[in-house]
Amino acid sequence: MKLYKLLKYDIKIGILKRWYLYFLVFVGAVLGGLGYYYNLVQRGLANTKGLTVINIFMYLFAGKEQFNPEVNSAFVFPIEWLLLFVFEVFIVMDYAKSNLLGHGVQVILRMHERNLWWCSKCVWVIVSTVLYFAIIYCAILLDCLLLKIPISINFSNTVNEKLIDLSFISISQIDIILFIIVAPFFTALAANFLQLILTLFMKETHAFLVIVTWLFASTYYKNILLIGNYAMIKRNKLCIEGGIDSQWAIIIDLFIVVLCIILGMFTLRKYDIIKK
Amino acid sequence: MVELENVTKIIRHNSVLKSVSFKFEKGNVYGIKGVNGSGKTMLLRMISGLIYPTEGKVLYEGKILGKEISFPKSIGVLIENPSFIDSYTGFNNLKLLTSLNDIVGDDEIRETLLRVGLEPDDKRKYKKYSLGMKQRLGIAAAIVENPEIILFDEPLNALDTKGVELFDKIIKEEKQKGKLIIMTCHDEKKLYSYSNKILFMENGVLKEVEELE
Repeated sequence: MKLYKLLKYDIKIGILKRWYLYFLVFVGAVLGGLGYYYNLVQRGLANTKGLTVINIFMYLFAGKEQFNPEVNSAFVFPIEWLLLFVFEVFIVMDYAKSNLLGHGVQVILRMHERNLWWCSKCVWVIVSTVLYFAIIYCAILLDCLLLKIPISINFSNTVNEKLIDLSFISISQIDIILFIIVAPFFTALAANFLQLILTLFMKETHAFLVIVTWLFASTYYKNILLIGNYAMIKRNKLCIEGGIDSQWAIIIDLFIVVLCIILGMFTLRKYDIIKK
Repeated sequence: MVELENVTKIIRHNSVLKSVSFKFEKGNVYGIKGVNGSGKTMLLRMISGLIYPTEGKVLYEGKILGKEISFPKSIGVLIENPSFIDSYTGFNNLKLLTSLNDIVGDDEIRETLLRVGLEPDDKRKYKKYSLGMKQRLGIAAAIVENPEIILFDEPLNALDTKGVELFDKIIKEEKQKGKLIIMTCHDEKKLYSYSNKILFMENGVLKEVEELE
């Protein structure tokens, strides 16, 4: 019951009172979808047979091939992919810590239990992440309705090939769902939890910069320790030899989340609630 | 009720509290005096359970804070600048806080706001409050749920004459209810008028305890 009340408080203060951030996500995603369509029109691909909503999602989560210094070309960051994940971690950056050192002092004293406060913040992070992705998916679905792009689980290889240099001879529907929903969500969740735990040891902005650097590094290198790789289709084993296995990626993401929850519980037990 | 046993607190290699031992009893008002940086606020934070000792222990009704319990069961605090939700009115801020425990209703919230001299139906949001009004709301938040222990850190900050008069009355009433009140106050004359006992802190050390009654 106490956890429920605390969670209600966190949803109210940490999400509803910060509605403008989520509104910004919605506007950004709608504009992003329209931008994608404009790109298609420019390249004469707007009427390509088989173009569906999945093409937009694949574009969003395609990521980038690993940086190869031998190839004589500059590395171009996957801007959309980075924006999506950086803004995701930005949204959850400061709420928990600033709450703990501000208004949350009154709250935690009334709860009589430090772990309860931590559990509520963990659930809040999960809810925020779900909401973030739900808003993006809804905004893109809205774009598709407006632009009359079919909403289907199939997709056009031609469009993917020309736009993101990605094509599949065959791919299961489960893999598509892993690529565009499950892997990005769990990767973002793991990044958010890592940031949450880091804020207990450093300033919120520093924790944010650590995670952003990690995400940037992920776009350069293919490495299992750089979790951004898990959310890039182009780094998946279905696309490249020795690529990331989605199932393992999700297991590692979940492991990170669980580890952060446990670590946070132990840290908070001895944590000085004081502005240092 | 609250007992400190050889409490030492080290923050970033600085001893902010040094081997402090003291027993706080119910029904008393304890005033803590000392110059800036002498450890007064740290002592209040320690009693509230917001920080734990590096050495020694703090006991609340025989239970060790940080080991057996996280915080005292019934405590109200005003420590440093109170923090509230900017876009809420005073009433809604207290309602939000009290909704976590549901032990008081709207009538008690209204009554508490009147006690500190705030109008319960005032539609102004917290961000529009003056410093004095913010301080009054901080005092209200500390007492609204009728806690057994009340900690006030510089409660007279930013209060006008009327606010100080109301605070005098609150201390008197809470004392009569048998609460344990521990406070700091830059106005030494006032601190002496509120307190039964004065604790003198110097460089994190409890130097002297003065009985006033």
